[in-house]
Amino acid sequence: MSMRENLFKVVRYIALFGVITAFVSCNSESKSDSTDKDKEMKAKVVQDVKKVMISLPSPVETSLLLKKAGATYNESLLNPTSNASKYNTDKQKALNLGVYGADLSYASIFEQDQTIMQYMNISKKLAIGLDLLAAIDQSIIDRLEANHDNRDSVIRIISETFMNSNSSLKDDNRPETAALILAGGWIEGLYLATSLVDKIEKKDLIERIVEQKMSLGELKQLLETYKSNKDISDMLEAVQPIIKAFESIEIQKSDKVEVVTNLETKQTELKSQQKIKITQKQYDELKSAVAKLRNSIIQ
Amino acid sequence: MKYCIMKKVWTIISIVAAFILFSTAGYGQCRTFAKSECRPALNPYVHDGIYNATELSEGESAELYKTFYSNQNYRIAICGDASLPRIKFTIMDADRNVLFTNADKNFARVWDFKMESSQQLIISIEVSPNDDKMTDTFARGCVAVLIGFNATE
Repeated sequence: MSMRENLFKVVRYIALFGVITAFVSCNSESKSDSTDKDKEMKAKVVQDVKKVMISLPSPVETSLLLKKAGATYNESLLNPTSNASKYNTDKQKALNLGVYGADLSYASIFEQDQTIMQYMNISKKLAIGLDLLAAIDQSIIDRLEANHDNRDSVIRIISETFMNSNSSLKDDNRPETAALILAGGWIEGLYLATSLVDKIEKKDLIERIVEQKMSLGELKQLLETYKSNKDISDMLEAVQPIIKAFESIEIQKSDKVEVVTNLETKQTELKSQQKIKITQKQYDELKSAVAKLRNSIIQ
Repeated sequence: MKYCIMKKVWTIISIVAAFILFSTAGYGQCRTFAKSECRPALNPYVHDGIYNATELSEGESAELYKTFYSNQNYRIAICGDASLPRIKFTIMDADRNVLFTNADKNFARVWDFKMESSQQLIISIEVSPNDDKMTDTFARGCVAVLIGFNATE
């Protein structure tokens, strides 16, 4: 059903509801159009219908966190651009647009000029395939070329393309496609991280990887929102082995978060402690589950 | 009685017409608003690229769930359409303990912070009801929640 058909359906219900309400109110309360009590009731009903938004970590942020934790650059881990011609369905295109977006972010954090241009161009092709014409237009490619030696500008341009694509999709009433792109990017980010670490002794990187258990909860919540869509329910099924692998890995947290503001710098810090409990076997299972899903997405 | 019904019908027609107009026009406007009005508020932080925006009416609220990572500096920017009254935002931990509210900071629209350990936070936004208004209509407009991080290593 198209967006416009949905809209008219909603309008019909509103009109019907409105007409019934009008007749009822005319018969029973013709002298009082809107009392204070009505207003209070209206406000309460409105407040009870709370909208929920889920925000997954962006691939740029994930790549930056990995670099800070000691990750290195390994070009062979990226999804080859030659694979793009194999993606024919909207689901494949959306998931791999997310994958290429994560690869692009990883390359940008490590200042890989040539790879950045290749992955931006291939992302543009997939975006066009998904009717996201404005997400990555020629002006973005030109700006990227002109600013290739300025890492900060490159990161900002890439972030702008992510904003363009997910805002266009949400505004065009295609949140399922936006969710698939985000899912593809999240899985690729975790794949890159786990591929760079074999042993759990690399504590900083392991900590970053295990922390993805929290954002996995958000990914699951996001997919569940749109699970009436077949592609989304399939993806929800496909991430189950990763959910299972994370379940046995423990993150212990302090009970309370303390808010401390430095009066001189005006910097606020949210203070709390966390302890991660993971065995090599648990990590190996997680790494294998991630690689399996990622490889099924890019094939 | 007849006059009352006619009046109600015209009110309904007006509401439905306004609904159609704003439903179709609102989509692109919210995106443009988030980009032009809200993203600049993140400077000098880098926007994470995730678009979180929705249309809210007076008294309506929304919540955003996001994991924030340790040793990373963040800025949260909340922007509401000019037609809306002020926006209240509250930051809570996963157990819904309140950590910050802009109601204590003169309804500031940005908040900068850093995490000692990674946590999922809940950002609750609420369009304050306008108690001073003269009409029964509820203002409705776009509210964007954008998140920026410090990209320096």
